[in-house]
Amino acid sequence: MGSVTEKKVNDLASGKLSASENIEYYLARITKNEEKVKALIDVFADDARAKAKEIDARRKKGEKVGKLAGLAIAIKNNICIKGKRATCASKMLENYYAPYSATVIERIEAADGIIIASCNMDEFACGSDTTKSAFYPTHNPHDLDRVPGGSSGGSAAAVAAGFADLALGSDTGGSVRCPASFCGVVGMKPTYGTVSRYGLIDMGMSLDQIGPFSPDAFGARLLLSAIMGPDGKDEMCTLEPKFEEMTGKIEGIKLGFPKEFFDNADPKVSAAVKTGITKLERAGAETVEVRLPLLKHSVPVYYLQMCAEFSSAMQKYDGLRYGFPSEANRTLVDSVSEARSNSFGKEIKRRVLLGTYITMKEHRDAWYTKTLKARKLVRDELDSAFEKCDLLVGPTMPCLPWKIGERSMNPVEMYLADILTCSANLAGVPAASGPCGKIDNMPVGLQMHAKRGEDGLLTNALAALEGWRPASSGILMF
Amino acid sequence: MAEEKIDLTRVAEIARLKLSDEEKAVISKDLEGILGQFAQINAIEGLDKVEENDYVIDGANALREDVISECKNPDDITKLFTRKEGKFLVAPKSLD
Repeated sequence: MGSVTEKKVNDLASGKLSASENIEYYLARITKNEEKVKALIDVFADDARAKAKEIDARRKKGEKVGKLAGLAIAIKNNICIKGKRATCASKMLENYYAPYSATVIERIEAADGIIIASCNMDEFACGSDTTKSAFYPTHNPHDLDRVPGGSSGGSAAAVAAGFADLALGSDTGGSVRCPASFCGVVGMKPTYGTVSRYGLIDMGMSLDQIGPFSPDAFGARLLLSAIMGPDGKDEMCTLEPKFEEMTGKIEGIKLGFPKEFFDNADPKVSAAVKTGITKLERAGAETVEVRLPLLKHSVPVYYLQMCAEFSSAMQKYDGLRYGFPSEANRTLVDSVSEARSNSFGKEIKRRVLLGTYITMKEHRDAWYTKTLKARKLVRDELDSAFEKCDLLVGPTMPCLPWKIGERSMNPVEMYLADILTCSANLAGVPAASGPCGKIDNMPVGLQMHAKRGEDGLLTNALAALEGWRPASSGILMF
Repeated sequence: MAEEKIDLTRVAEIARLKLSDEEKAVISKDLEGILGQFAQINAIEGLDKVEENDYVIDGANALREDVISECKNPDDITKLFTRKEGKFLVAPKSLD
């Protein structure tokens, strides 16, 4: 059984569908449904049409085209596209036009992908439900009263709502995997250091990774293969992940089954995920029990680490180079302080203040130093688990998508939504979410973690979860 | 760890945020609640025996050749300045 994206790629390659037809299809869907979903910030209709026309002309002449040729791709609005707004869904950057493109954008364009729109997100990626955007909340296409997850909720919703073939998001503590789970699409956070962060407006630089959204494993793998690889402009992007041929076969693969993942999830969600794991066992994988006792500490370790880095990342927004200058310009400090306060949302201020507090000289040892040590223990625990298994499996999210506005303003309650996802960022391992069923018509995601560098195995296991097999007449582009 | 009382005045000054008294009260309470719960990391066994880990992956940072090049698009950058004179960003004075 092939996949939606594979069929689209084959139809484009064979000429059954033109790039222009593909783009017009998505622009029509955006016109019809975006007002209800609010997944997008800017739509690049003219640019997308021009690029599609150019690709069709080259194909007609028999020229070679890239592996993403004709596919419509939506981009989270914290990834810079030259000449387009990069707002991070914040008032601070509402009128910021990127003077350069991120490496991932250059690689998509070099592969002839067509960037169709920028996507809504939680402000500066601070959130798990895309209701913290300074502009408007995004709605889950499966139930418009519910959240799509976050912070890359716009990107996930864009794929789920049929506004684009594929999308990019960024994942610092689960911000690709959470909305993938809630929107019923595939979302992946690659191994840290395999996808360039140059041009990604950072949240936590030791945690951030850009990752793909797709209706299926084939599409996620295709987009990832186009954007990954060492980049001299990102000093940490030095790794090439292992990317063996995708077969959809996982005989003999050991699935680590930590009870802690399930202890922290709603019983109905756990039951749906266990059904997905049974499917993987029927495909030839074996389950082994592993333990992750430090999981209960992962949220504090993650948030303390992230806030420390986030407060540093936010220092550059001063109302002078970025944002709006304040009127009170008696001194530089007054002017900057007021501009920042006027342009940042409440969650931004909270995280900046938390990160500043724990890194102050008098508090550093009590908080930040301990966080760094705890992070090493979390990383070591995951590495030990991987001595017994090839993949760790469990629910992506501990619950189903909540109603927009339902989650209380208790910050720790919000942060606990990341309990199953943030360890992967702390350890730098790849992790992905694939749909494994529905409860009350809402999608449930099954999450898999792999060892550092085993991104290919991860996409192969996602394909097995779908029951994917190479299409008999498929043109594998990678 | 004893319950932390947080005076945001100094923290906000370092963070370059101007907060109203109401905001200070609300956010102080939030941070005290957050750190109260996050203090659980002190209970992690073996914490005192571990080195700090700043690095997610092993290996050294990638270096590139130190080659002089020109900025190709200075206008794209300066046109974003909120206040400017020519190619210069206008900022308030930093000293009284």
